Amino acid sequence: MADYDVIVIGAGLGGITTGALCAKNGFRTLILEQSDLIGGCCSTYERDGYKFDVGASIVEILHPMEKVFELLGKRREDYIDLIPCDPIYSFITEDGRKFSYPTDIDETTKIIESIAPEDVEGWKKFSNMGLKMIDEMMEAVMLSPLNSIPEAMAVGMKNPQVLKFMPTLLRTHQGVVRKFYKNPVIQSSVAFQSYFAGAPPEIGSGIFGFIALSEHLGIYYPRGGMIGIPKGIADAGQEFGLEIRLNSKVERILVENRTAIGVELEDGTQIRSRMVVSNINAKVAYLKMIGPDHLPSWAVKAMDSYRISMPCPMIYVGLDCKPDLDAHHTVVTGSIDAMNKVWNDFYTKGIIPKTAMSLICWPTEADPSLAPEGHHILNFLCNAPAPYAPLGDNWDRLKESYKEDAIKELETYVLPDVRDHITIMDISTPLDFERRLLSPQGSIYGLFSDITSLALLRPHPRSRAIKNFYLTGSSTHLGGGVPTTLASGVITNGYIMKDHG
Amino acid sequence: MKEKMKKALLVAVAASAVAGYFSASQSTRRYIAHLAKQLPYLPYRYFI
Repeated sequence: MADYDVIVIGAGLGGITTGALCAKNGFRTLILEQSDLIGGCCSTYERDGYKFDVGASIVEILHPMEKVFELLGKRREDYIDLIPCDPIYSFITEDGRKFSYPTDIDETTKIIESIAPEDVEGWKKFSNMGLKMIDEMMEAVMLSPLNSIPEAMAVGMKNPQVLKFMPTLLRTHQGVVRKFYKNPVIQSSVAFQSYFAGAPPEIGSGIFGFIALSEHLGIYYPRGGMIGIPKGIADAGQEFGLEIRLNSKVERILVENRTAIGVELEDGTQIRSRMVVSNINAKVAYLKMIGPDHLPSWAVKAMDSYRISMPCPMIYVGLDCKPDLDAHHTVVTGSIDAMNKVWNDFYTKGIIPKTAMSLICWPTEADPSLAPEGHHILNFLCNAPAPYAPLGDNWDRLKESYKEDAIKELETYVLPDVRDHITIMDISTPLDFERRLLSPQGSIYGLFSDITSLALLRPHPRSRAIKNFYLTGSSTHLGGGVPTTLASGVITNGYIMKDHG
Repeated sequence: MKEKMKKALLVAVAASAVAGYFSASQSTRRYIAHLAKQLPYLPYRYFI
């Protein structure tokens, strides 16, 4: 007799979403989270009166979130208060030029015209085509299952307009950017998405080009911090009986005759269930928690072949004054070639780049309540990407010098006397991410995202190797990110309903 | 005759692929090398 219908391992966004929807559908559902916080990378922790976001810093493309609440039969506004942020990004380029992109497409056109009149045509073409694509693909691709060729064909037949965008999606990110823009400054302002998401523009999928564009539909910050999103969904799920246990680490997934039958916790407790859903890194779930002995050899080969997404050291800073910034996000950016160079000459060789790009987030611009009155918070990726295992060193030893690099970065780009205004400073290195989130090598986007590991080629939400075993979150279709992991929760729930509903 | 034509066609395709690779930018070559490395695993990935 099973203790639960569904056990979800991990309370990241995908896990919380799947769990809440399962509970709504009448399944006795338990989420087991090894840490003391829900949300995974989309979470917020408090220290000395400051609320720092662990990783995710914004939500764009609200459609999946609205869909989750629609399926829960609740109003999103009753659970999550979203604050619109405008401008979307502010940029500081290699030559010190500063500019911002507002949400409004026409206003953005004016900014582009002032920098590179030759790119206005490309921008108009790209935004017209891209916004149409985003609109048409939202439901068709983001929230549709893509587990097999027949399912992909069904999506294509149901939405033939999607097919005309395929050539663009099959290009690399830099291919898409260079097709539409000639000016290197404009190129650098739309080429960083794949870079900060864990793939250089020369390898990252062309779909990243559209993420930049999707943000013109609006970007939002949840009041109280990014944890507001998983908390809102969890609160709604708990009204349907969803149980969440924190500080409960799952040691292994119990399997009998290639069927998942429950989990075993760190303390040896076994909990039986009809279904097991993994919201942890798929490599860990398959190769460590299930183990090669329970898997067919092809499944072991598949899981061994995936590369982990990049790690990202995060710096968290409290200031006693207002920083000199213009937007929720400021990107210290470089040319496409510089991004590829950092990746090939530093990151893949285990060297921490000294002259790389940074992404600075200023959440107190949207929500001042995150810090004591008059104080501000900056969360940022400094000199990203940085390797998990720096050559001849390790992150525990490097912490202090990395903090110093971060301060210098802030002195250059944010506030010359920032050192005198820092009231608190924290760092989460790849090792810390690995310890805190149990993410192998501190990866923050699950698996590497390129054309060979997306959609049909990413671990499927419904396992073909183990019966009654499902996956959700950044290791599955759509990959890492807030809207994408929310969408994965919807898709995984769809499979569960199909199989057991 | 047919066999000979087939062979010639294969050689032409292979030669143009090699020529295309060497005339491509370093960036494109790295991308092709990346794809080539992943290729053998794609059938396994499709089924997982």
